[in-house]
Amino acid sequence: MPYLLEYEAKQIFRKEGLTTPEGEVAETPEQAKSFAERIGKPVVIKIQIPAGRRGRAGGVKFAENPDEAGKAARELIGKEFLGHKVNKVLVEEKLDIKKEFYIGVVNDRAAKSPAVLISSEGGMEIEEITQKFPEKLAKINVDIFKGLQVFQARNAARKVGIPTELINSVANMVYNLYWRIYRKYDATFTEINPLCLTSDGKLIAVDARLSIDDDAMFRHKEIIPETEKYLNEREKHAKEKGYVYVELDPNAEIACISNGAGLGMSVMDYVNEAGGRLACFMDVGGRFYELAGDALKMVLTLPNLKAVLFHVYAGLTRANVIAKGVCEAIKEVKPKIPIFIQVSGTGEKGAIEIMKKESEEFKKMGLTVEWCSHTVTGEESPSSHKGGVDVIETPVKRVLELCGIKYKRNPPKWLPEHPEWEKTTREIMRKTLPLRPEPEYKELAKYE
Amino acid sequence: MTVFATEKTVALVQGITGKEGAFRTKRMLEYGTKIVAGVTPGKGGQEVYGVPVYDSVEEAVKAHPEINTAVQFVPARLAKDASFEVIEAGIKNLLIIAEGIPFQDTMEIVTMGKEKGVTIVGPNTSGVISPPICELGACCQSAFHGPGKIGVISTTGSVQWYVSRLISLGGWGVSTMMQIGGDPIRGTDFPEALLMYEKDPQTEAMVIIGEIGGDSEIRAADLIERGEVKKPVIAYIYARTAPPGKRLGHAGAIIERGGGVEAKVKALQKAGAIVITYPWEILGAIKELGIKTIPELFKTPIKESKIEE
Repeated sequence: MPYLLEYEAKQIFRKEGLTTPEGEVAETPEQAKSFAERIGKPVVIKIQIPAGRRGRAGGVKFAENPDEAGKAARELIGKEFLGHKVNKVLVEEKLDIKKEFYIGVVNDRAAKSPAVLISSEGGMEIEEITQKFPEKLAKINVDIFKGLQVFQARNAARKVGIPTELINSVANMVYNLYWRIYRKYDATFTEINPLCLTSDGKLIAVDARLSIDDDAMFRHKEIIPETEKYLNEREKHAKEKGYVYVELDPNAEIACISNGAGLGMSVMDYVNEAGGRLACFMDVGGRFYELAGDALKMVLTLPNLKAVLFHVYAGLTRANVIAKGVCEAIKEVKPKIPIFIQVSGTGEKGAIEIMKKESEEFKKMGLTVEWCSHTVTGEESPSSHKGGVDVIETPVKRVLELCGIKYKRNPPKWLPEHPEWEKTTREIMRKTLPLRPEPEYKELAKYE
Repeated sequence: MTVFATEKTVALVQGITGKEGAFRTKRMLEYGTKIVAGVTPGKGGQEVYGVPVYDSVEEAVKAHPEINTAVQFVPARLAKDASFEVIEAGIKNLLIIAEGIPFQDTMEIVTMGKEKGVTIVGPNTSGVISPPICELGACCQSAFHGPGKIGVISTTGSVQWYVSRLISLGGWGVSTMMQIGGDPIRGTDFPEALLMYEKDPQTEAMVIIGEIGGDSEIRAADLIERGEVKKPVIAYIYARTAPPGKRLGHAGAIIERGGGVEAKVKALQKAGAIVITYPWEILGAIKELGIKTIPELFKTPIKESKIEE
């Protein structure tokens, strides 16, 4: 989700006719100083990072003169705030502010439509406004086909107590934010907070937030967000190939590649709760199943990796295609660290055949590759594990062990475990599996 | 009776001549789904596994007025056009498979669908299956044994196939599995889906599998609390250790301004739903509800199309 930095958002806002303060973006203290000179007034120095609440984190400083501006920039550039390194600061004229408002457009997931928010209070996060001043916040659910009309914005502005003489100008600003920003740029979210009334009676977007829908970026090729310039090699590669790769901790020991977000996130939970660390969240499911081998090669470049887990329960994906792709990649790369492959679901029979055959090859090559699948019993080859009820947990457990971490379930306090339910699940499986006509389930029953 | 995919379903496949469209059509046909037409603009007159291909949905519906469901295998960028075409042609059920549809496009699709009384499932889903009668989309057929009693509603495919398989092997079987998908805006959300299953006489309890992001699970909890959903609900919500602000795979799976697992779990527990901590607790939780298993379910082999490539 490309989150634009404030200065990038403001460039777009200005292009679309929404007024922002005079300002320039600086990469060095010297630049900040010379911009302050050019502005010729007291200035504000704001760090440019992809996060909100920058003011509270100490990332916004005021300067009366150019020297102070240079000094403030020196204190900010290169430092880390809220987990992000500051590469740039925005130097802007300091305004004489009379009143602050809030306007924004968000997705209303429940109404499945855009929602426009207007408040006569601004300068604090919208959650805080909602809590402290509910009567001063209006929400307009917009019909995506009709779009926002100015009268709706005017009425809402009036309702939340914006003074009569300002309702036309505020409503126009809201109208432009909806049509010329939210709709035109496929925003997932946009906000002016605060929208300021200056002592000389102007309405100015003092902060601007804009986040564009990843899936709509093909319609906005002219926008190259700065946050994407700082992607590492792996993130760039994944982006090029088009699969999901979220680097959680590049120095962690386990990489998990799953075919679906649900399985990937569940593995993340169990690993984290056992005290392990996942280097990345990676989803090659759906349309990307043919890239499984490529994905494996990519994660093997993580520096401290001790094991890779391939966790696949296929629907739209095909387990046999993934098994083939991964095995080919393993033979090519000959990884020095252990690989665990779990392949179940659509194409399961084919995947099991491939794993049985390839396991022998891997053994000859001296590689550590272990595997399991829902209907295997663990007797198929020396490197196979039992599937069945354990097919989701066994791979996580084994991979942690391979990293020298003892697996232990440790869910949060508000989510109590139910060992008695698990026991019942196992009892039921033992009883019902032999009753099935399929031989693999009868076989599996012996081991449940 | 079942939900969305039923014995009355007569389907059309959009994008039938594509690689995935053709492969999945073959699997659906072998499963027993009635598919009477396919549509690929510019390829009218061809046949795919005996299914006639038309240039437009309108032509297909004219030739086969019994069509009541469209299964869409078209790329994300073309999904809006293809969906509008289905809705305009008067088809009342639409399954959108594509992942990566710009969400403002999806807003337009679902708004238009709502105006015309069309039930939309998706986008970003592998489909809906009512074993052993009808499969729509790209499901893991081997995970299902039916006709069963438990309705499964899920944001994800992967973990859900595992849960559905346990329910099937456990002897209850799945009535209908509906993957509502992982997008922030979807045609059918948990609350709408729960209401569909509530009306279905075959379904005795529902399992919902949810994730971080949005408030669909909380709105589902509200429905249960208000008594609009009376059948028992069991829930598994994953990504409880997700870092805030990171979008994890699904376009909708991100913690920003709420949407964490704890609030969802607490709302569901308060409403009286059973929340499981691990998916392998599922059969114990169902048994506790006192629902009887189906003895015949063990005797019939699992139905699955033989083709894998």
